[in-house]
Amino acid sequence: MSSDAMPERSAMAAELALGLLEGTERASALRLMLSDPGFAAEVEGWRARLAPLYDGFADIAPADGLMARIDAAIDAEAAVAPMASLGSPAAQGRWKMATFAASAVAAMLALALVWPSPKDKGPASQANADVAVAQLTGPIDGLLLTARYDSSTAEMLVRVEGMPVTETEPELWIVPADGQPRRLGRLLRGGVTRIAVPEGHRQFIDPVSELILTMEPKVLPDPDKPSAPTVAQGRLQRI
Amino acid sequence: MTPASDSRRADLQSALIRVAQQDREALRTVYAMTSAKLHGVCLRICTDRGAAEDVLQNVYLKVWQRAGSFDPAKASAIAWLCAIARNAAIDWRRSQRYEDPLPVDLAETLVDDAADPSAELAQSGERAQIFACLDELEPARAAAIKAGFYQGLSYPEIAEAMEKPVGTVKSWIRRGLMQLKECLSREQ
Repeated sequence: MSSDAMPERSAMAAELALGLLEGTERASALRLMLSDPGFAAEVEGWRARLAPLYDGFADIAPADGLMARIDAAIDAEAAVAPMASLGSPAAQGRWKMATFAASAVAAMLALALVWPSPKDKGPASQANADVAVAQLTGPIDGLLLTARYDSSTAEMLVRVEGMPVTETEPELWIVPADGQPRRLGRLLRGGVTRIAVPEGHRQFIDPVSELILTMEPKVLPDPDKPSAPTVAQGRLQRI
Repeated sequence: MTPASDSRRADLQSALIRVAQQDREALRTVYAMTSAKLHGVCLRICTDRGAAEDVLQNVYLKVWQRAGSFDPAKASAIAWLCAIARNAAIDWRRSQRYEDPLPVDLAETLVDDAADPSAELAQSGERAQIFACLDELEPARAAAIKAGFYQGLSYPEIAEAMEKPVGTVKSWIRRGLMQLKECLSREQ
């Protein structure tokens, strides 16, 4: 026979393991896990007890190409590893402060701090490589994109932060002086996306061109022009 | 457990340990062996294919970054991976503030009850045991626990979906979990 009452603490351990807790309840349970080994052991006990339930989730293969996206995401993270290697909290603080200052100058300073300079990139890069950066912001609170284009590799790395969850997908375009947007590609919703800029578009990497972000349907209605309004924009600056 | 499934579990564990050493090929092996299962977890909780794949991508990034914290003494590799996927999917779900939670009975249609207990990565003989213990519970208690586990619903969401007060659902789940614990210890 089961007893009806479960001690509050044991109940909380089970509820945390099951994922039922939210907000402050969850925060206090997590704190208790750190401070109370007995409670932590109860939570672990419940996790182990519930683990066989994972067999009840169906196997559903993801779309082809997801592993390639994961590979690209790992490569992109590795490409900006120098940011992590700056390491000190002071350096990270500078990065944070700078990204929240919405001026192009702040963006340039921040990017100069956190992205590797061409000469650090080893023998593969050309000594005379041009690097341009842009910071894209717009009406969506907290959404910030930083882009860095390196002419020696013709690659643009774009970091996305604060992207809200939507049905639509973030699409990056470059709008040169003629006002016609050219598609650069779809971005990951977070982290860094690496875009190989098509040869025909490289001529547009200049201070007159603007980078814009639109949120497009999963299947792009027209690859030659955005179908949705611009949600973030910024101009490229050479550094 | 069959010898084949034992060997597959050992392969997965050793691949995961190699991922901790930043072995990209090992990550591909882990992906090949587990992506359908983890996608099933994400899709079930996110209920949106695009979101589930975004979450799944981040799950494997986390696996790449955190494989060093996998401890085979604490959990099987597949349970460790499923826990990361489930937590990530729940975090995504909670960030959405769903206004209309799925009806809980939908849970039944989405759970793979036909999953073969001897499936290659099935974790242990305990599988049958915990499912048998759930079957012993009053149906409402079992349904509430399953909604929490498989759909990642919170107390208020389960209460809304089952059209019961939160207090009632809380009591069902707590009593159900207590019974579950007793059942599992009794039959071990």
